[in-house]
Amino acid sequence: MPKFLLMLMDNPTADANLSPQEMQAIVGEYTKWASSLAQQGKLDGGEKLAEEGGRLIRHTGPKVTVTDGPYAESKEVIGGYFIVNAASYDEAVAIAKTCPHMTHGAATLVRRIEETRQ
Amino acid sequence: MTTDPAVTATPGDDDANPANAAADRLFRHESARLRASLARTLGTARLDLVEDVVQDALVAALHHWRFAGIPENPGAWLTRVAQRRAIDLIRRGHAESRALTHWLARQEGTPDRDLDDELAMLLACASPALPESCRVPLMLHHVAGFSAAEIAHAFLISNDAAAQRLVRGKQILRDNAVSIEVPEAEALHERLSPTLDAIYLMLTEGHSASPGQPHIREDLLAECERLLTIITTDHRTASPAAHALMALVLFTRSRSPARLSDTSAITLLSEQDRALWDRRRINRAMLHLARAAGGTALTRYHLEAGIAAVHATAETFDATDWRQILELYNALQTVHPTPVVAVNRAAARAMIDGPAAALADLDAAARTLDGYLMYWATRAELLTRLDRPSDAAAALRCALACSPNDAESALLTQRLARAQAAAEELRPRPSPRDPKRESPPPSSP
Repeated sequence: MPKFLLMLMDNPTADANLSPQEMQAIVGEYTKWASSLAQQGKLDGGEKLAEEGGRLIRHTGPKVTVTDGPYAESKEVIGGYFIVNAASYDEAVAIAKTCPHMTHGAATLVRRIEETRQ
Repeated sequence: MTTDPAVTATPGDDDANPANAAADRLFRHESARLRASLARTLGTARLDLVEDVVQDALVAALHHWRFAGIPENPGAWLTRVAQRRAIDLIRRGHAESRALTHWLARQEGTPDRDLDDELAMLLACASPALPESCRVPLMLHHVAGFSAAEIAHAFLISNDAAAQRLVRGKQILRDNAVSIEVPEAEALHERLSPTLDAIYLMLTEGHSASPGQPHIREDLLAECERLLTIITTDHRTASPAAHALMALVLFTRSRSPARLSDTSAITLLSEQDRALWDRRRINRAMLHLARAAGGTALTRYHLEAGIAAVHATAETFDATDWRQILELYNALQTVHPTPVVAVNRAAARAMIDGPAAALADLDAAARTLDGYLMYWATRAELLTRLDRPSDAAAALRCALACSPNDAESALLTQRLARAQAAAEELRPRPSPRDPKRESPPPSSP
C-alpha cells in the first residue's frame, strides 16, 4: 500500500499562551488520533523535527551559503511528520483531515512517497 | 432536603481511579513543580523569568509529545528542557546568568527537595504582605498550574481581573522581597493559618460553584487535596488544623460520585446512593481526623470535618445521628457563626424537634439570611413538611432569585412546580394567575 508523508506545519508563536491543562488536552487528542490509526494498521511512524527551520544550504556554482531554515521569512514551520498507509491521495487527505492538527496547527502538507520497487 | 449544603456533586470522572486523576492534571502539576524549583532559587524578584522558562519547556513538551506520546518521566523531561534553556540563556549572556547557574547547580541535589519547593512556594503565596484577594489566585497559578483564564473561570471573575491579581500579587511579592522558604516556628505558624484559609475558600468554591458553573468543580477539589497533601506530609506544617481540613476535603470528595446524577442534576444527601461514596477517601479522612485531635485548638475545620464524619458513617440518611450533628453545629455557631451554619443547624434541629421548631430558629435569624439561597431552600423544605405549600412556593421563588447555578436552579424549579401543584390542590377554585402568589414573601415574618 502506498505511503504518504503528512508534514505538520505550525505557526511558531501560536502555542505560547496555552495553559498547561490546554496543552495536555491537545497532546491527548494527538496521541488518541495516532493510536487509533495505528490500530487500523494505517500509521507507519511519526517524529518531531528539532528546531524551527533547520538549516538551508544553497549552492549556486562554487558559492555555498548556509542559512537558518528554508522558512526563515515564513510564518509557518514544519513541526514534525507522520507517515500513513493509504490507498490513494484521497484517503491520505481524508486521514489528515481527521488529525487534531486541523484545529491546532497552521497547515498540513500531504506528499505521496514514491515506491522504489522496479 | 439537605442539612449540609456541602452535599451535592460531580460526575465521578476520576474518583474511581486516582492514577488517572493524577494523569489528567499531569501538565499542571509537573509545570508547578518546575516552577517552584526555579522560583525557589531565582526568588520572587525574578518570577517573570521563571514564567518564561517554564512556559518554554511546556511548549517544547507539547510539540514533542504530540508526536512521541508522553514520556515515562515527564517531570524529568521538562526539567531537562528547562536546564537546556537556562544554559542557552547563560551562553547568550542573560542578565540573570548567575541565578540560573545557581539553579543548575542545585539540580544535582536530592529529589526530595521538590516537595519542599512546592511547600515553600505555597507558603509564600500566603504572605501577610499580600491582600487576601491575591492569595488564592497566586496559589492556583504558582502551585497548581492554573492559567489566569482558568482562575477567572473558577471564581467567575473576568480574565482581566484574574490576570491583574496575578500581576499585582507578583509585584507585591517582589516589592516586599518575600522569600520562598519554609519559615521557622512562629513565622511558619503565621503563614500556615492563612494558607489553610485560602484552601478552605477553594474548597467552598469547588463544592458549590457559582451560577452557570458545573455544580462541583472537581478540579478545585482535587487541588485542595493536593495542596493539603503537601502540607500534611511535611512534619513542620502537619498541624491538627491542617489534618482537620484535609479530612473535610476528603469527606467532601468522597461524596462527589453520588452528588450529581447522570444528567448533572443535584442529588441531595437524603437521596444519594451511599454505595457510590468513595470508601477509600472516607477511610483516609478518618485517619486525618484522628490526627487532627492532637492539638488544643478546636477550629471550624475540626467541627465541619466532624459533621461530615457523622454523615459518612451513617448507613442511611434516617440512621444519621442528628443529635451529634446538632451539637457540632452548636459548637460551630460559637467558633464561627455564619449564615451557612445557622441554616444547617436549623435543618439538623428539624430532624430532632420537627419542622416547626426549626422554622422558628430560622425566623429568628432571618434578617441576616435574606440573600442566602440555602436559607430559602431550607425554609421551603420545612414549610412543605408543615403542609404550607403556597408559602413553600414563595420561599422557592426567593431561592431562585438568589443566583443559583444551573443544577440548583433545576432542582428548585422542580420543587416549585411540586409546591404549586400542592397549593392548587388545597384551593378548590384557584384563579389561574393569582397575583398574590407571584410576589415573594416578606423576608422576615
